[in-house]
Amino acid sequence: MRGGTIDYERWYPEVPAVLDTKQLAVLLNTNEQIVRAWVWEGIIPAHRTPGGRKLAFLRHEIFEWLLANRYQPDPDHTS
Amino acid sequence: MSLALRKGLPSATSAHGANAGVWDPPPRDGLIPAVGDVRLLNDHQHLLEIVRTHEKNPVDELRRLYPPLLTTAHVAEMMHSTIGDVRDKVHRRELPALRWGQQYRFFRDEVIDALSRVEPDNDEETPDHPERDET
Repeated sequence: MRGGTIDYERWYPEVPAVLDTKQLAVLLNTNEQIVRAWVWEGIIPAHRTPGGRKLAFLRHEIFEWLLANRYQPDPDHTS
Repeated sequence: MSLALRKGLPSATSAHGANAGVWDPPPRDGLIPAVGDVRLLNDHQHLLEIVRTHEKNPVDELRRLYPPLLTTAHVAEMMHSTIGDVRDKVHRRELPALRWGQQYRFFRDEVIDALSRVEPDNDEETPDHPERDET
């Protein structure tokens, strides 16, 4: 985790390697509509299933995307 | 009817007139200790062993209780603090966070790591309202 690599099987064994929209919504504590909207906007990395209708998300892509969007607080912030 | 009654032999229950005909408990063979058995009551070592084997690692327990990605409310609950305190910690860079729209998300293991790095406060507890007169 610290070095940018995540041992998924060790730390997140409950997260499947490939997720559907509902599973990703549960993982991110949000709802499916928001996930689909963000996929439509190209924010979340997603794939289409062979049928072409359903979305599939790869666990490592999601985690890498989340890590890339790490929050960087304003250095001038004083609390 | 018990064997003792049928054969006309005295038994623990049939000796009492009121309990005549009551089912006689089977004799204990020594393998199953009775409730009042001294051996059972004094087997602290055995009980300690049971407690040790069932003792849960707090980190594993947190991993079991919380999802992989946490909301601010989850972290506040985990840290026994408020959502505002969690946000302050994020702003002070004490807690690594992810941006999810206008909200924050936290990797569970990073929060556990941050919690484990917190040093215990050795200061004596101060009263909530020290200036208040106790009259």
